Amino acid sequence: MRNVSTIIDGKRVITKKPELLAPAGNLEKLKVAIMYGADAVFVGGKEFSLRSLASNFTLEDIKEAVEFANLYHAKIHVTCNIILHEENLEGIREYLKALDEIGVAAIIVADPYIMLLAKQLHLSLQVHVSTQLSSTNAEAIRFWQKQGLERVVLGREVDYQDLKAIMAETDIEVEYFIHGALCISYSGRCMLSNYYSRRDANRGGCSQSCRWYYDIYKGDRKINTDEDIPFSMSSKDLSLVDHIGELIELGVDSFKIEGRMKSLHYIATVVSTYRKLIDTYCADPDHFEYDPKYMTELNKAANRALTLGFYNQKPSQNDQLFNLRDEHPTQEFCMRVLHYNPVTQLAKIEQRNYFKLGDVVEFFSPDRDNFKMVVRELYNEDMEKIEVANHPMEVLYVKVEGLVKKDDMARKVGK
Amino acid sequence: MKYIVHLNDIEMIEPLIERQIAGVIVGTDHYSNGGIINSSIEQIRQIVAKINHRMHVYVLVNRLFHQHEIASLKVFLKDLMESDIDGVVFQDFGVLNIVQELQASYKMIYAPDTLNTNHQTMNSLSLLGVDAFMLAGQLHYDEVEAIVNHSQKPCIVPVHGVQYISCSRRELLTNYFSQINKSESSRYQDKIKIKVNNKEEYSYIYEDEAGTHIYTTNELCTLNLKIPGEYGYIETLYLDNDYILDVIDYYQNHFLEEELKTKYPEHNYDHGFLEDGTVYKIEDVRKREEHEKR
Repeated sequence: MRNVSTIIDGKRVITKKPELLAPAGNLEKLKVAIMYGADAVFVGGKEFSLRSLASNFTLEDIKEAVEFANLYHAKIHVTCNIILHEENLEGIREYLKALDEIGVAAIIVADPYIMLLAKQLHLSLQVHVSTQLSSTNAEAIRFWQKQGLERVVLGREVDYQDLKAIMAETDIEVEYFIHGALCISYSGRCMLSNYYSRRDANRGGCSQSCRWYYDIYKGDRKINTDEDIPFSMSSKDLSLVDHIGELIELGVDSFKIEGRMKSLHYIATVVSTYRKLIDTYCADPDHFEYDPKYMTELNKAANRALTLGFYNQKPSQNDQLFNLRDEHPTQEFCMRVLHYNPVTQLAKIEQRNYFKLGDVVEFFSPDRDNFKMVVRELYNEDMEKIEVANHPMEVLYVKVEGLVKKDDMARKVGK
Repeated sequence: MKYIVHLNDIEMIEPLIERQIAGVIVGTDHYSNGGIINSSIEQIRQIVAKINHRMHVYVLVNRLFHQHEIASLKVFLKDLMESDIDGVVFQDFGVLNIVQELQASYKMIYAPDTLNTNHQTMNSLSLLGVDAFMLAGQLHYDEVEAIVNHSQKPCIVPVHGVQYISCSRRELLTNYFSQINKSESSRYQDKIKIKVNNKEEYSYIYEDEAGTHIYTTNELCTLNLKIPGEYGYIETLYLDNDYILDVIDYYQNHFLEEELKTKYPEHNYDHGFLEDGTVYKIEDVRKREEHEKR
C-alpha cells in the first residue's frame, strides 16, 4: 500500500494529499476553478480535444491559463484526447511543442501515436493516459508505464476493491473520477452517436444518444408498453463525496471532476466542496467525521440525481435515469461579487441570472461557510434604487450584511 | 483478398476450409466480447486439432479486463501458449503486457472496434509489439485506403456483417426490465432489438457476463466497393450457416450486392461509414442538422 501519512506530534496527518483536478470550458471558469481550490485544471484545445461543443481554448488562452495558474501554484492539463483519423494527423507535432513551450504541465491523451510522439519529442510536459482508453487493470497501467507515460486516468468502471489492488500493484500516478457525468458504455468504445446521428463521439461530436428514448422488441413483439417508461441508457451522475477519506488513504494521486461543459456555478460549487472536504480530512484523518453538508452543497449544483457508479457494485436500475424528468435544473446562480465595502456593506456585483428584491440568496466562497440573506437593497451603477436585476453581466450594488469578498458568488434559493 | 471469419459453429470448420478461408476467430467462455461459440481452453484445443493448420486460428480475448479477472486471464493466456493457436485478438493493453511477459509466440492482433482509425497510431503500436490490426468500423473508404497503404503491419478490414456499436459493463436490459417489473431474458439467442424513438432504426442488444453489447441489425455489405487490403473480416453474429457460406461465396466470386439482395430480400444491407463519414466539428454538426431539417 502506498504511504500517505505520517505522525507529527503524536497525531497522524496526511502528507500525500491528492491533486484536485477540475474541468474548465473557458478562461473564466478556469480562473474560478483555481480560486475555489483546484490544484490543477484540465482544458481542451481548439484542436485534438473531445467536447467539440465546449468553448475550448486557443493557444493564447492556454498561455493565459498557465500564467494565471502559476500565480496560485496550480497546473494546467490539456486534453489531446481525440482518436485521430487520417485528416487529423497534420499539425499535432507543432501543437505539442507549443503546449510544452507555454508551460502546460500535462497532456491527456487517448491515441498511442500522440503518446509516443510526445515522448519522442522529449517534451517537459507529462503524458497522461486518458480514460478514453478504459484502463481497468494494473497490467494495462504497467504497459503504459513501460512506454514512459507518467499517469493513467482509470476507466470509470473500476470499483473500490479493484482500485485498491491497482494502487497496491503499481507505482505510477493514478487519476480517478470522483464527480460528474458517466458514460453508459466503456469510454472510447461507444458508437451510438456515430450510428444514430453520424456524429463521431471519439472526436468530440457525441450526441449523447445513450440518453435518448428507445423501444425494445423481441421478434415483432414490443416489450415495453405505452404505459411503461421507455428504455434509455442514461446514467445518474457520479459523486464519491462520502468516500473521499478512503480514496485519500489508498494514495490515489489525482481526484478528477468531470464537466468541461458545465457552468461557472457548478465549477465553483463542486470544486470548493471537495477542496474543503479534502483539507478537513487531511488535517486530522483519525478524527474526521463525514458531514452531510458536503452532499447538500453538491446537490445545489447537480442537474441529475447522483450515484456511486461502479464504486461498490455493478450499477443497478437505481443508478440509471429512465425518465429524463429526473433531471432537474440547478439552483440559480445569480451574482458574482466584484468588490465589497465593509463600511457601507455594499457589494459591487455582476448579475448572472434574474433576481429581485425579496429573493433569498445564498452566498458561497472558496474558504468560508455559506450564508443566506434576503435581498432588501439593490442599486444600479449610478446608485439609483432598483427592484429587479434582469440584465446579464450588468454591474449592480447589493446590500450584504455578512462579510463577502471578491469572487464570492450567490445563488437564488427562494423567494 | 483473403477472408477471416468469426467461427459461429464447429460444423462450419470444414465448409470454411473448403472455401480456403485464411483464418477463423474463436470466442472464449470468459474472455471475449461478442464471441459466438464461447469455448473453454479444451474446446479451443479441439478446434485447433480439427482445423489442423488448414486455417489460422485466432482466439478472441477482447474484453476490457478488471483487476480481479487478471489472475485467471494470465492462466488462460499461458494455456494458449500450449494450444498451437496462431494469434490472439485483443483490445486491452493489459493483455499485450501479459503476453509479452510470458514471451508467447502467438501473434497479437489489436482490435478495439473503435480506435484503429489512422496509420500512424497503428505504426506506433507496431513498435510496441502489435502484429496486425482490425480496422475500426467508423471509417470512410478513403481512410481505409490510406491506412492500408501506409500501415507497416497487416490490416484486417471489416467487409461484411453486423457492426459493433457499443459495449457497457452495466446490465442495461436487466436494469430496465427490473424498472418496469418485467421478466425477460436478454441473452444473445433472444435476438432483442432496440429502436430509437421516432426513427426506423433497429439495433441488436444482448447481455452476457461482460455486460451489454449493441450491434447494428443492418449488415455491412461491401460487395460493390472493392475494399483495399490483404484481409477482409466477415462478422457472423446473428447470421445462420447456409447464409454465411453463401456470403463467402459471393465475396470470393466477386458477385454484386444486388445479387445478394435478390436472394436474401429479408436482410438489410448498408455501407457503414464507407461512403458517408461522420462529422464532429461544431460547424459541421450544425450544417448536418440544418440539412436533416430540410
